[in-house]
Amino acid sequence: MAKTQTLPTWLCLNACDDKTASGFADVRTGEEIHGGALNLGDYFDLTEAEAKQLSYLTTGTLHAGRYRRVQVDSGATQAYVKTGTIGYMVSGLQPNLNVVTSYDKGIVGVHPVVFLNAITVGNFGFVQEMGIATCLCQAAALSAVGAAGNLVNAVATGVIDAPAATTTWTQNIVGIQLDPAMIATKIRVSLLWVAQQG
Amino acid sequence: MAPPDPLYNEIDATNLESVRKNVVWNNLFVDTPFQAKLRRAGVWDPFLGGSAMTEGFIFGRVQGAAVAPGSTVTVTRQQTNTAMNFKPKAYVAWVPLDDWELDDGSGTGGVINSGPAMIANQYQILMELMTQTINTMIEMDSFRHGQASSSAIADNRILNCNGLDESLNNGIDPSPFGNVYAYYGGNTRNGVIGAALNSVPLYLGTSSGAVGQIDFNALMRLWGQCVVTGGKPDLGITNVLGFVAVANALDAQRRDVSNKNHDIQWDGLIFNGVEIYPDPLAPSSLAGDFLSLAPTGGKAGNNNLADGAGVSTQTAAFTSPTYTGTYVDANGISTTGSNVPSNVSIKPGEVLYFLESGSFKIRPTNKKGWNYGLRRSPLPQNISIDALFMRLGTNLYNNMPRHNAVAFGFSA
Repeated sequence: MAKTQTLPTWLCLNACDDKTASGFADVRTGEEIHGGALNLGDYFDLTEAEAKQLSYLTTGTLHAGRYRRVQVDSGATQAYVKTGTIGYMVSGLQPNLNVVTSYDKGIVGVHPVVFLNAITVGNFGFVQEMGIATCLCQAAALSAVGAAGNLVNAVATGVIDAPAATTTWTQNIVGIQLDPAMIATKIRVSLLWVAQQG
Repeated sequence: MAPPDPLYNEIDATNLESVRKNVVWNNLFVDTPFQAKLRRAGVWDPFLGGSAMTEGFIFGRVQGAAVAPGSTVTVTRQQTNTAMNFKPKAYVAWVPLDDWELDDGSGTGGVINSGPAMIANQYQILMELMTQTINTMIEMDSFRHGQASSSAIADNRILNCNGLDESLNNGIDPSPFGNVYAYYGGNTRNGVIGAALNSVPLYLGTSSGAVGQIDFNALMRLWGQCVVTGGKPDLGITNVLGFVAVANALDAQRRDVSNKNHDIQWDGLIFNGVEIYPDPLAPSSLAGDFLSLAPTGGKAGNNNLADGAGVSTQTAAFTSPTYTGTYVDANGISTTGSNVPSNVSIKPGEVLYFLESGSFKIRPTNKKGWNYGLRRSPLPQNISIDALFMRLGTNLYNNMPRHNAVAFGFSA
């Protein structure tokens, strides 16, 4: 799958919750129409300005980074697929980078992504896998004072936590926080994940 | 997703919607008079090439005096004229073009959007939308500026046209967008060239920053500012809501006596020879209530009208400069004649321009590839997608700011 330079989207990146990969569906049957040049696995890099232009501001502002068209696995936990949570490759499936699932159903550390918005399980949308992302801090007390510049990890349900030890590299690493971590707050994080293609 | 079983119900299997072919209603873009009126005034001056657009102007006199016959004088040379410099600005609109879906007129593509099932030609729609998008950007940018940000200029717009906001300024008082432009056409205002490139903005609001009302006196004052410098203002531009305020101000002086078939046909107003037209995209604080303006863009991000910097001409409150020394009077008001109060949060409200159309220039390139010309860039190894660009190289600027004037701070 080539990195695409012409990006067709029918809504802002963080407003997509489509029943088909192309975003087109027959109005009567609901079956996918192959058109629009949007395919599962299309990925692309955006500048800060481009990302902002493709942001549904009611949900949040997107930032520079790499984005991917994916399907949310039908077995994902719906409540954990929402703005700022972390998802992974589906546990038990053949390696597939273009189908992602919620934290609790994934292989922690394998193809981590940030969900941009709530996507109905089984539907298609966009996720972020590199760059500056908006992540949701956990509702429980953070393990440590999360100052900007510290590492953050993903924890159960896909939210992030500022760990007590910030020097240990673990599977659930997310990135370096650019804003102070606060309980149940969305903050900007510079993702530390490696690029993968599939 | 499993398809319905059976695939079609009886209604869907036997009916299509009633469709009027080739009709697509425009519920976004608006028509605007400003550029049309300028073109009719003959200010269209194609840019034939060069690194910049240079416009010479006189700012100084030579020496002279009443002297005693037979006396000798010291003859010195002083600079009397220089030139403004404007750069051509590039405007581009783009869409992905998938020839699986669309035919570009060649008849070789458009597997989907073709034949008797085609309701409207989507390629034609894209062409018209790209043209409208560029026109909208140019129109809105013509009310803004094309300078870099600075301590007195809030936004960086070096890629945009050098519009009215920077030309109708005096380097001391704020524009309707709250900026103070110390330079115009690369020349320093109030320096060697003095006030040669100055136009004093006229503030019509209250001393506390609230919007005021426009009235006959204000219109005459604005006209006077143009005429006292030798200008002949012939074009008035304001937002439709600003036009409402002007019309109401003038109508307050008279009464209709007929109660049958009133014909209030005010497409334009003539005030002292100034033809005033309502322009939906001219600066306004109220127009955004009725017109979808950037930056808010809805769920798809594009259901708004935006300028070349992704914002709009909607005016917003700003804090006026803190005037010091001779620039402020005992009441805290600017002494330039602008009536702007010092260090106050100002609501600019509606904006009215009195313009001498002949002092403008619109400079589109004469190179057809960049005069609404198309560039089609195939995506390497992609089987159906190209990027399609519509491009325009141009600029819009004013050679005689002092023959023009702007008033703001009033409400409809």
